[in-house]
Amino acid sequence: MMSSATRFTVGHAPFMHCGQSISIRHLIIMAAALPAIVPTVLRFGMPALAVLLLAVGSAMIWEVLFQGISRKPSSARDGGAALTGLLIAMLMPMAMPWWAVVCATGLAVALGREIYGGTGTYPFNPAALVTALLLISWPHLYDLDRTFLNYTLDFPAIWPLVEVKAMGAEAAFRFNMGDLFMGREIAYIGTGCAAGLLIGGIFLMLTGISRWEICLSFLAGILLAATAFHLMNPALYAGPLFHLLTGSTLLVAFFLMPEDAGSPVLPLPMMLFGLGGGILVIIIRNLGVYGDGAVFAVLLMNLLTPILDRMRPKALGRSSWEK
Amino acid sequence: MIVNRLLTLGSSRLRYALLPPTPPDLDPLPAPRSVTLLSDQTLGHGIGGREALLRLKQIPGKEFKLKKGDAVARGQLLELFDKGHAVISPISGTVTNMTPYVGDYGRVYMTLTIEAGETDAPPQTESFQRSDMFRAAPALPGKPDLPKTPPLRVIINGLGSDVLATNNQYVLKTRQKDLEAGLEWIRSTWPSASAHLMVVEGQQQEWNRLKGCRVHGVAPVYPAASPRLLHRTVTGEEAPSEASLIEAGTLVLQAEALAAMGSLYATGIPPMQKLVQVMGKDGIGHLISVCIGTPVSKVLEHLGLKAEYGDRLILGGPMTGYAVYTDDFPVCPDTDTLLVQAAEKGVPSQTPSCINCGACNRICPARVPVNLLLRVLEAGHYGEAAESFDLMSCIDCGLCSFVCPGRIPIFQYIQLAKYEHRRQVAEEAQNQEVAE
Repeated sequence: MMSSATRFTVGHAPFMHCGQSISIRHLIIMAAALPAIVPTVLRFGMPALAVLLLAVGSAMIWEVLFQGISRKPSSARDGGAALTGLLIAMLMPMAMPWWAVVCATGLAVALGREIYGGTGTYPFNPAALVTALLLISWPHLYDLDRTFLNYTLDFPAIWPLVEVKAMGAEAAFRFNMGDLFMGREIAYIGTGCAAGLLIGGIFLMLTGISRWEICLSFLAGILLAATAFHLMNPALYAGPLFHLLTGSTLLVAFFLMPEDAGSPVLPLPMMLFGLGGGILVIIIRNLGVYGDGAVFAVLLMNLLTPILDRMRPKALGRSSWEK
Repeated sequence: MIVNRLLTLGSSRLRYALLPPTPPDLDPLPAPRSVTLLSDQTLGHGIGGREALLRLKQIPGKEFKLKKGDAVARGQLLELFDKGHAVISPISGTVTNMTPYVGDYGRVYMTLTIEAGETDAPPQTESFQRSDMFRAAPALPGKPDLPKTPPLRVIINGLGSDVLATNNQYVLKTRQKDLEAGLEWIRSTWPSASAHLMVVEGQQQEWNRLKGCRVHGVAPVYPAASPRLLHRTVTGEEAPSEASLIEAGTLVLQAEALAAMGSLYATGIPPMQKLVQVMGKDGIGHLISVCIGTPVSKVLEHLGLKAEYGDRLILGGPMTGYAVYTDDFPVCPDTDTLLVQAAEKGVPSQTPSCINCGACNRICPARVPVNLLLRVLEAGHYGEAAESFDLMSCIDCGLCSFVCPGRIPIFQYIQLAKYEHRRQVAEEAQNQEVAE
């Protein structure tokens, strides 16, 4: 046997693949963010677009730099940094100075991603991590009220969440739910247009890229906690729908919470992860000092992922979890 | 666990290939002039390939029962050792070559090359005994693995062993007599065992004519015809993952194996024709009947299929099969599928970090936490993987690698880990013995 001259390539099974790849996933997520971004860019023009492009571009350059320093192969560049940059920009007000944007993406790529080993390895969502860092370091940069000084708007130029925090639940009635849904509100670049986020989010859930268990249980957590607070003290705390449509709720639900690396993947842990995140967001908003503390909720839930991952069904034919 | 599909558009469900209602005409291949048989000489889990290989290299004092130059007759059982694995010569002729061959994961074979010719070997005249079935079985088409202890139930797989294989469906449609003879052998050998026939869902009615056999429908979604999942379908319970299926009382036979056993039982002549689903680079399937031991090159030549340098020759199906490096490799008793894959169609493995997307967890039919398991396997902690991360629950379907967006060779990691884990356990047991 084995005398024939022709040699064939060997390899391990399986010899088929479904065709999915990491860079395709990242591209799809970025495409799903477009419906939320485009209305904002159309309404506010260049400043919003400039922050977005600067963030994506600088994140990619930082990635090349850091991967060069750590001598990683160029195949490690899979669009992950661009996605992180995009998400960071979506959580920024459009008056962000350029140096802050570059600083944020640099921190995200270095501290958030590369220090752990790049795509997939980081325990915390880099976009949430950096937004939280900046929010603590330079709170005035995230002040939305100074962003819109130069615009004449046909809707209340007040930041809904801060207004409600300061004035009580009655302030919520100053905002039309339809306006909030269509993005006619003061908001960060990517968080304003609830309709766009919803389109992108549903698309991501249908393609299975954002795990629907996490997205939906997060929204359920928001609704549950907000309803509970509202029932306890209707004068002080706004209702569930208001919380659903304002701030970064939907962006966090569809883009940050189900981010692969820091979230669990089994059914029950995913539900608990989402539910816990939603409840934390409302607690931070209602009892904390920040108007919108959704990124802190994401980071706290990322912390819990390793322990949540241990709640799993018994595998086929196992009599107990551990022998 | 193919769950959570409600909200998933990008579904990667794999379905078994189904035969058309009227089975195609078989394309018979003329008997070859020369065959190569692989006689399995693996010593058992974990004992390792080296000892087996040394044994085949004729360490002094060991003599094989078979030598180069021996004349063999068609249908003769060939054994190297008294209680070894037997092969059956499909042609009469002379043994011209015997070389050890090392397969994957410590498997060791002796290859026997037999050239056809006039020989003075006596034709097989001894009548076939019922107990001979146990010796002959591993060499029959479909490779039935008959246990020493009577099983409680025999499950006959009427679907494929892999996604493309249609041999079992063809046998069910065309060889009812042989199947009945096979069932007859099972009934007379193991009177207390119940027989279960697994067919494609919706076709149960067609098979009620097979006597004494309960018929179950299975949705033809890969890997529903995997032995442990068939066991669950029949009994409603899961067999313990630490033990073999036989220990749970279940014997799973391919339908083709049952037909071969029946044919041997009824006529006394071992059948040597294997049904093979062949697919060339053009993607067109051919079901042909090939003599076991025929080199792959002869099969491809007969069908006019080309395989060139750099292509892949895959035996045993695209999900669980193995690629061989030469087209001299023979058709084996369990070669249900033969695939030629063009070099550019291959899936190159990559080793990025796992992004924890959970695709493998979702698709795993054994509910193995693949994402966690992979991290342990990458670190080489095989014992921990088996204890805490359900390594041994894996049913070897390969779906985790199939869906991985990072193209991580998860299936290969798992196979290696299982092999290494079994080897470690066996070595520890050996050390224990020596210590005592």
